[in-house]
Amino acid sequence: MPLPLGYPQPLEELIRSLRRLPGIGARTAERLALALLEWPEADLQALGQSLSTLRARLHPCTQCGNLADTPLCLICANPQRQTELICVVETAAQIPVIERCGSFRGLYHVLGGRLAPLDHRGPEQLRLAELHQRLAAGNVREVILATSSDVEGEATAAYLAMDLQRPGLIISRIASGVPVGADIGFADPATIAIALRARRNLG
Amino acid sequence: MSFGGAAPVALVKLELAGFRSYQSLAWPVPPGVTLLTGANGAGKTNLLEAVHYAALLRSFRTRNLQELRRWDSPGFSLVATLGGDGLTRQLRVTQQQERSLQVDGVPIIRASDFINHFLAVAFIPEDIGLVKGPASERRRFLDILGSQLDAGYLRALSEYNQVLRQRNALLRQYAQFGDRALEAFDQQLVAFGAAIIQRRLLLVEELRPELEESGRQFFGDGSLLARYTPVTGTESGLETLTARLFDLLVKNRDREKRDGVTLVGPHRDELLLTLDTRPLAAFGSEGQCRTTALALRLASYRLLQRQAGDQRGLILLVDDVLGELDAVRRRTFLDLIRQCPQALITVTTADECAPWADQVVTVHDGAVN
Repeated sequence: MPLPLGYPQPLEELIRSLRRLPGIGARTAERLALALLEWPEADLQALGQSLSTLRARLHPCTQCGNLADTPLCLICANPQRQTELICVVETAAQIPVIERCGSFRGLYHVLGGRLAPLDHRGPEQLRLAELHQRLAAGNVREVILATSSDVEGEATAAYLAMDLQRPGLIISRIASGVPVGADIGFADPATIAIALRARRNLG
Repeated sequence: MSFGGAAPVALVKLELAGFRSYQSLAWPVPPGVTLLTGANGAGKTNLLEAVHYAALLRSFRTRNLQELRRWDSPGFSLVATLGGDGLTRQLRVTQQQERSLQVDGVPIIRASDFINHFLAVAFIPEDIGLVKGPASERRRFLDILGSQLDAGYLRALSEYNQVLRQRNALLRQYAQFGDRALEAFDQQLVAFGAAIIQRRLLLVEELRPELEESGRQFFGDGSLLARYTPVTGTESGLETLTARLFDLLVKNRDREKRDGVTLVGPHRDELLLTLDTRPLAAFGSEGQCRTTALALRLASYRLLQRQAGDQRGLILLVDDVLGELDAVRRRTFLDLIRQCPQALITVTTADECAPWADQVVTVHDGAVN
């Protein structure tokens, strides 16, 4: 959609770039651009610097594939973490989600995607060699598969369960079921069925 | 909640903007049997199509959404208001570049959470394809009916279709993916596939008495039967179905790799229709096939009415079907739907059918009188 208002070229470029961000519509992009125009020169320079060097300063952690600005990411470099436990996730963006719960003290491994033949993404496109290397080093006791619970995520987990098997290694899958804090009356039948199948013994 | 004497749930209002021939329309939809008359091209079928779309987010005429908007409009909007039983509910579809859905003003992301707030069954001339057409048409008939009765059916179906698409894509690029990746998709294919087969077996069993009754009413003595014939056989235990489907996958593995497509599963199954044990697709006359299609739709309508109609509202849509029936069957059909709580029927001239209707309305020039 062409912009209806006749802004000069530099502003129009900025608005168009901001609109590409998730959750930003035409009006918001306009407001953000005009707000930036009011910023002190030094702040604008700093923001520009952050943007232009963002890619150069970040790279995947050499061990787990998480985002890092040092060879090892903050999690892998932390001596407090339990190195015998690895949680496998699809993307680096899922790590903060799990970190926020505060109860996982192990390490991660980022696959960099999932099995999706329709998008021509197969095992070759996943960071599996790196994971095998880490397992071969010997002190990992358990791998937790935390891929999504949709078709592609489940297929990826099934693939990994076969591919990672080795003596003495526990391979587990995160549970799915009734959301915590929710009334069971609002859960859909498929969720209930899964929750029933994965019930725990309390007796 | 149901109160004594409260009206059953029904469609009470239909509002259209930029939909087909309608620039703007607000029509209070009457309860009971309504005949829609008017010249060809007046827009009678468009009203039925709009109701069908509000119920199922699918037209019975086209898959191309562009055809649903009026020629001079960039998109369309459609509001269906349900009432009765102490409840009002407003379903809104707005189609511009993208489709947005709302129920009572609350945005709905997934189509599966929007559809089947009320139930619609359409009788259309193309229904003959249910009998004469390829098996895919009969599977779609079962799948839509199953989804109307049970949201779990729809979920299993959409998951199955997603696994199937991924697995077929994998088979086409088998050399790059290998056996292990294929097996990773097999587990879900078998699980969802068996769930669908089981639900279809159950559904056809529930449909059987309704179909037998409709068959008797239209064919007299003739015995009309629908038999679902899944590749796994008809033993309905989920574990058995899962195991059999898995065996068949293994057995067909080499062929699947060669053909690059999934060869066994509910996406290939048939619903066999027979009249006095003779398969109708091959041996039925034109008239028998039309009547069978009508009997199938009527049976599905009755099943929905029995199982869900009271709570959600059920509307019968009949487009141009009456003209194709002989006088006796037309009268039988009209007798059978006489008692239904809400029906919209298009006819070119109302005279003959008027005695069966609660009201006759005229559609003319984008307006309903």
